[in-house]
Amino acid sequence: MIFYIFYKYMHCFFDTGEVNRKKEILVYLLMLLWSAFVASFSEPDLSHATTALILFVLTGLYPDRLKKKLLVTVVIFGTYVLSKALVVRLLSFFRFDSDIAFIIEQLSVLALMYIFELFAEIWIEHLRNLRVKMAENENTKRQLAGYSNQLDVLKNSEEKVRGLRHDLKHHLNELMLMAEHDQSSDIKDYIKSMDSFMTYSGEYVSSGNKDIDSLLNLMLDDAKRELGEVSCKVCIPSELDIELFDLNVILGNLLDNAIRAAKQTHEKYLHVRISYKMGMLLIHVENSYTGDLIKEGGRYRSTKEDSAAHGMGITNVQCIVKKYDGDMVITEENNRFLVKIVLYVKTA
Amino acid sequence: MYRIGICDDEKNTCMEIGKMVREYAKQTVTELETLVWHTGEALCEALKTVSIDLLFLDIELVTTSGIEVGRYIRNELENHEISIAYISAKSSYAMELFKICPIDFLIKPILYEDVAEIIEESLKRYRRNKLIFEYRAKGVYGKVKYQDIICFSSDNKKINIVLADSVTAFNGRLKDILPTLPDNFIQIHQSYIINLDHLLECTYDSVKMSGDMILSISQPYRKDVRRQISEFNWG
Repeated sequence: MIFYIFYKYMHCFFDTGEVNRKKEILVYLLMLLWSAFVASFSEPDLSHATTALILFVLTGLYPDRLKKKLLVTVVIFGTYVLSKALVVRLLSFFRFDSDIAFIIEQLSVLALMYIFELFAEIWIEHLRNLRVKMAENENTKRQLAGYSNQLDVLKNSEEKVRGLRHDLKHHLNELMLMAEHDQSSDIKDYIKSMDSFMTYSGEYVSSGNKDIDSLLNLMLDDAKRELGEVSCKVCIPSELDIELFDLNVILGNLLDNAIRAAKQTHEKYLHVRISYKMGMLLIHVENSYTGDLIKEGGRYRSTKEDSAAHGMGITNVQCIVKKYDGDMVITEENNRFLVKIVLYVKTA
Repeated sequence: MYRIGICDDEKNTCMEIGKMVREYAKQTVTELETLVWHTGEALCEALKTVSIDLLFLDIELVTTSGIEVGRYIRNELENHEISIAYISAKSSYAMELFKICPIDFLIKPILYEDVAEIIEESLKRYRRNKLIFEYRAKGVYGKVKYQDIICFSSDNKKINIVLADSVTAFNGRLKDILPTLPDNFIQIHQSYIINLDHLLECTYDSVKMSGDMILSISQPYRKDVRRQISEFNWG
């Protein structure tokens, strides 16, 4: 019974998505055997030490930092000891037969532990909600900026085309004249200048997927201003069954981080590739970086000043990736930072 | 000989790609042959008799569109081996295009580097598909081209080679043949090894193979399969 409560605690504090169920159950059973074995012939002090040790072994099942594992062990063990002390204290006011007293004590400890666990769960849920709200806020801001930028992009390119149409007769005359004189290289130059006049420089992506276009155009406009080399290739269907919010979290955070990192480098490059194959949305963001990222317990920490907010960005991305049964791979070598994400997305 | 088809109603685009293909052939000392069509109808008619390995196909063909041609190749001719690279002036694509499993998309004006990359990728696929799988069933040696194998499935001590129109069985175990297969064969289940070149669509827990065969990915394999398929697509 107590092990079930330990299990609840662990699931409350750790990210358990990556854990092999069979292995988990096996380890719990082993620990159960061990504790039964120790309890069968020992004094209470030793059994406390065993409990603490068992708890620590159990935290080993879950992928996280050692510091957190130790902390969780201490917290669970602490509540265990506290519950026990509390119960013993309370029971000392009543007089029971030693057998009944023992059972009541055990049951009350369990009940108390369970209540503490519920509180912890509620508290953690509350923190999570708070974080989601913050992310939502950030997203709404970005989305709004994206839309207004996209409107500008559309207006500008529309104006350019209108301008060209206005002078079309004149251009055609000019081209005809050149053609009559067989000036093919002049014609080429003329057409090139017409083309560059027509395309608005703020439009980097036009995949037909409005959400992705507006987001990328906004972010790449920033990137173009700050960086030397920016390239972007997007080959996706115009309709995808993915929530705008989720896309925003992923692309917004990845590009934010990539641009910030590349800005500090000498090469200053950013390559973005998004494609859709066999039901998978593949996102590939590559940038130059100076190589002084801090890695902590397998996770990237930020070199940015408000590093709490930054770490949150990547955590949020991970949440979304998980929602789509996806995967994120981060590699870094030779001052090249590469994030690859795959999401399973149906077509709308 | 590796054959590359080009189909675009703009003759200049065809010429340009043709030039790039020859340039690639010269630079890499590869023997390549190019065939050119200007309408979807002519291409579909020709494909009944001629076989090609890579097709540069315009999406905005006037009478029969690139989508219809693609559908014809995949569904009517049931040919999943031809690599199709779509050409377009726009960079927005309809969903139907993705169902045809194109190798890539080219946007006009076309760049040599992109064409070269596509030929390279498609050649890689062509070379691994030409390899032959050999087995022994009932004392007789059998041969089958890897490109025709949709998947291997096993029951008891037998392995079934599943092709589009037939199934052949021989004695063996999947875990013994897996290391001998090309990279595009991956195990998704205790009793299935699939050919990624025949994969049409996938989710985290299932795959749809050509011939609309749906197989489930068993739990212990899912993470590895996800990694392998995405690496395969990223190249």
